[in-house]
Parts: sequence; structure tokens; C-alpha cells
Amino acid sequence: MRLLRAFYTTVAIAATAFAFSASASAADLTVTAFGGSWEQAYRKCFVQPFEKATGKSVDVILGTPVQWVNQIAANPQKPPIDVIVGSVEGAKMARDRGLLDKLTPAEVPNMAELNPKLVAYGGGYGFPITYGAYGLMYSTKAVPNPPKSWQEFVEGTVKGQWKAALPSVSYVANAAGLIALFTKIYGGSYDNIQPALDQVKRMQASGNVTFYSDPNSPLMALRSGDIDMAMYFDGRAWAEHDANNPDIGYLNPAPGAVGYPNMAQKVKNGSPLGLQFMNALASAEGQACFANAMQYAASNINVKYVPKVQPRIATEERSILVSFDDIAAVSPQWVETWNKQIGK
Amino acid sequence: MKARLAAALVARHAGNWLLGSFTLLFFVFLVAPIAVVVAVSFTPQAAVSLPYQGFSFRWYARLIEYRPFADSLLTSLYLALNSALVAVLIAVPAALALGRNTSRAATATVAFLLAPIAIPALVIGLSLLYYLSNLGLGVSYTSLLVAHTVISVPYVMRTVLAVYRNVGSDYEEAAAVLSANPWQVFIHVTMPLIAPGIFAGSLFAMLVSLDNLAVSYFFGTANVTTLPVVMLSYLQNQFDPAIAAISTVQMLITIALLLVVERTYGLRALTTQ
Repeated sequence: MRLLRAFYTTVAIAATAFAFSASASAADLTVTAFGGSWEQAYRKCFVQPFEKATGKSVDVILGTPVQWVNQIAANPQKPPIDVIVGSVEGAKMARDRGLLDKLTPAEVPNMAELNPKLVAYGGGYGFPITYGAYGLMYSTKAVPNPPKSWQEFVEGTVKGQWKAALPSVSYVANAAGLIALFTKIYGGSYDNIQPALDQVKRMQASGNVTFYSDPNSPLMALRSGDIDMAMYFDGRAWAEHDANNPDIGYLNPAPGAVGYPNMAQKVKNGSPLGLQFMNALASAEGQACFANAMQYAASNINVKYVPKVQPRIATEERSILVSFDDIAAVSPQWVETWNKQIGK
Repeated sequence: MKARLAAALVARHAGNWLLGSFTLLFFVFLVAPIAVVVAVSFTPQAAVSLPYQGFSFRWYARLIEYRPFADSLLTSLYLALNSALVAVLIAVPAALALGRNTSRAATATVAFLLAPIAIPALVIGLSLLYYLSNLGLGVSYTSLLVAHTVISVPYVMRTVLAVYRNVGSDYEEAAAVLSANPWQVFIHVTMPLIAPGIFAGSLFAMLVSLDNLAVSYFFGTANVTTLPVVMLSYLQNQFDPAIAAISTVQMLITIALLLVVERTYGLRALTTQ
């Protein structure tokens, strides 16, 4: 017993030492970001100018929206995050769980410059910084005449004019980017997605389609020649074009590609400084820097793009804005139906 | 007679050859993906592809340029060491107290301490996030340490239990008969006998901690994020050979760790008793 007591005393001492050594965040504001080039552009365009202008320090947490939302939900009175910038799905999760502050242009003056159609995505609790269009990335060598409409894409795939990659049910763009889009084009409704699935099944039966579940697979498959075309995000496609594969082309077929907003939200009970940061996120200057770096369309209507990026940016006419709230309400049924009929 | 002997010899050689070939193929099957990762880390190109021309440390320079890689690697190493240490402090006394106890309560307690292995790490991570937050620890290094200790304890417990049960109680009883007090028995008899189990368990615990994503995922802060979480976040937006470079560094650290163990203790001692 004495031995055990000695051990547990040691454990208690060690635990206390660790508790004191725990590194509490000393920054004035804590915000979120995705890693890699996204984070670097985010720091350069928003965080560093904000720190310079206010003299305040900003910490950036890397990770994913599910992680951030749960961290806030577990500590709602003293949230470890003040501003979330993440996916539209994560934004809805945070909104549904009551973790956010409502925002108005009176508190965030630059919101007045944002496209109201895009601001509507926030439901009063935030706004998109940019949005990525989910159109077609293709090999300009293998497909010199890419499809001008989604119907042409489907028919060309069925006929074997090219090999294509589609998002699988486990990829984030499957629901809105494929099912909702095809429902709009081929009829049906969010309660009846059969017309959309019938087209996917036709393509699948032709043997000219593969399904991907991580964003890097289509880039590698296109490079190796395993596929000629993929439904994909515009900014990522152009980044690949510039960095690794100049043979890549991208287009939004008619009637357009679904836009995926990148939402910014102020966390309830977070630092009041968060409102100032939200204002920086809505600014034309910050968004111009970020949108030109990531090649996504900005929500601020006063943003100017550099000549190289301008023609690549999704236009409002070729962008389809869907209700992610409506899709989230029916997505469990969609997943079940997809699994039964498509199975990928 | 001679013919039969020759046939048996040939059959034996053929068997050895087949077994050797199978072992070699299996070894290649296991090592090839790792070799590819190491090879890709030296590509001068911006994309992950093989074969490539030239040789470059470009992606190792990226590890220095992109601070989250280096910072999170240090955090992961520090965390792995600390969680293994705390796991030893918890699991060793528990194993000693429960190892030779055959009561139902002891059996149930052992099963309870080993349970984290059987529970999905994501469930442990999510549950601990809410539980530790309610205790006031919030999202912090302390919470991360507690979470990693929870998943490390079964590995130390399992190995120490196995070794301790095999040792038998004769040596400790002999020491006690010769007037050693419990502390002396532990230090001079029990500890040396169970050391291989502690060593092996700690090593497992460290490797499990270094590699863990599911639990670490919920406790990342701006200053404390582990390497697997940063790698996941990086991969979601960027797929370049920097990932291969940081993976190679991580592998080198593990190999170095094993070499240190081999030089100071001997890996053979971990597997024989």
C-alpha cells in the first residue's frame, strides 16, 4: 500500500506540473483556418493586416469545422475560438447549436458591400468570404472540345467520349454539387432525387465513371491519364494548373455550377474584438488579396481581380446558389438512396 | 535409400526456397509503400508522382518554411513522451496490484483499464472533450495529455501484466524473507524483472500517441496541435510532397528511438524474458 501511495503521489505531482505547464493561449483573438496554402493566404490577407492595424495578436487554429464546433459547444461560456471560418456545413452546425452571434451591418460595416444573395447563406449569423464553383476540370489534351452543358457531359460520358470522375457519397460535394445540381437539370425535387440518380446510374453503367472521396485523387488520376475529366472546385483546379499540370482546363457548364461558400462567423461569448476581425474579413481589400491568391469568387462586390485570375473567377450567371439548409434536412435520405442504388 | 534421401533433400530445399520467397515478397509488400513515400520526399517536382528526374531537398525546406509542421512535430514528441510517462505511473502500480489477484473485482478492474483499446478513438476523443471541459480543463495541453494517457494506459498495462504474471512471486518472497522492505523489493527485485514490460509498453504508448489523429483532433489549439492533425488539415487543401517529407522525418524519429532502445537496452530484451 505504501508503494502504491508513493506512486499515486508521483502521479499527482506530475499532473499538477503538467497543468501548470499547459500553454494557455495568450493572444487577443483566436480564429480558425484550413491548413497549407489556404492558411498562408489567410494569414497574409487578413490576420497580419489586422494585427498591424489594431496592435492586437491573433492566434490561428488549424483543423476542421466539426472539431471547432464541438470545441465551442463543449465550452460555450468561455469558447476557445472567437471567429470560425470554415465550410457551409460546419456553419450550419454552429448556427443550429446556438453557438453564434447575430451580425448586422451596424456592427460590421463592410457587410454593406457584400453580395446580399451570398450573405443570405449565413441566415443572419455570418457571411461567406469567398465561394468555390463545383464545375468541370478536364484535360485540354484529351478533351479539346469540353462539354458546354451538364447534359452534354452526361451524354459524352455514357458514349465513352471521355473517362470522368464524380464525387462519391462520402465526398463533401456529393449532395449539393451533384445530386442537387442534377435534380435542378433533370427534374425531380429534394424529396424525389430519382431523376438525378438515374443519370448517375447511366454513367456508372457505361463503365466510363469512377467515384472519388478525397480531393487529391482526381488531380493524380488526371495527371496519370486514368481520367480525362472530373467534377471539381474551380480554385483547386486552377491551383493545380498553375503548379503542376498546365494541361488542365476548367469550366462551369450551362446552366452553371453549384457555389460552395466559405463562411465566417462570430462565436457567442467570444472576444468582442471578433467583430472587428469580421469587418476585416468582409473588406474589399482583404478579400481581393485572398480571392486572387486562392482563385475563388469573393463575396464583396468591390473586389478587383488581377488580369490572370479575372477570367477564371465564377460569374454570378454561371453559379447556382442552392439552399444548404434544405439539403441538410434531406441528406440522410439522399445518402441512404444513393447507397442502395449507386453504392459508391 | 539414396534416392529417397535425395528426394527429401530436394523437397526441403524447395520448401526453404518457397518460404524464403514468400517472406521476401511479404517484406517487399510491407516496405514498398514506405519506400515510395521516402523516394517522393526527394522529388524536385511540385506534385506527388513517380518516376521523377533529379534530386532535391526542396520539400524538406518547406518543412522549415511552413511552421505548423515543425511546431506540431515538437508538440507530438513532447506529448508522446509525457503521456507514456504518465501511463507508466498509472499502469505499473495497477498491474502490480491486480496482476496476481484472481478476484472478480480485480478481473473487472483489469478489463476496465484495458477497455480504451476496444472503444473507437473518435468516441473517446469526443466524450473526453465534453467531460474534461465540464471539469474546467477545456481545450488545453492538459486535456490533450489526459486523452493520450487514456489511450496509452492499456498498452503499458497489457505488457507489464504479461511480464509480471510470468515472473512468479518466488523472487519477491525470497527478498522479503531476507528482510527487504516493500520499497526495496520493488526497486531491487520487481522493477528489474518487469522492466522489459515497462519498456515495451512505453514504446507502444509513444508510437500510439505519435500516430493518433482521432483523439488529438478534438483538443487542438493554436499553440498545441499534433502533427497528424496538421497533416490532415494540410492534405485537405494541398497535396504536395511536403507531406512525404514530414512523414519521412517522423519515420526517422521512430527509427532513431528504436536504435536508442537497442543501444541502451537491447530490443531482444523486450521480446524475451
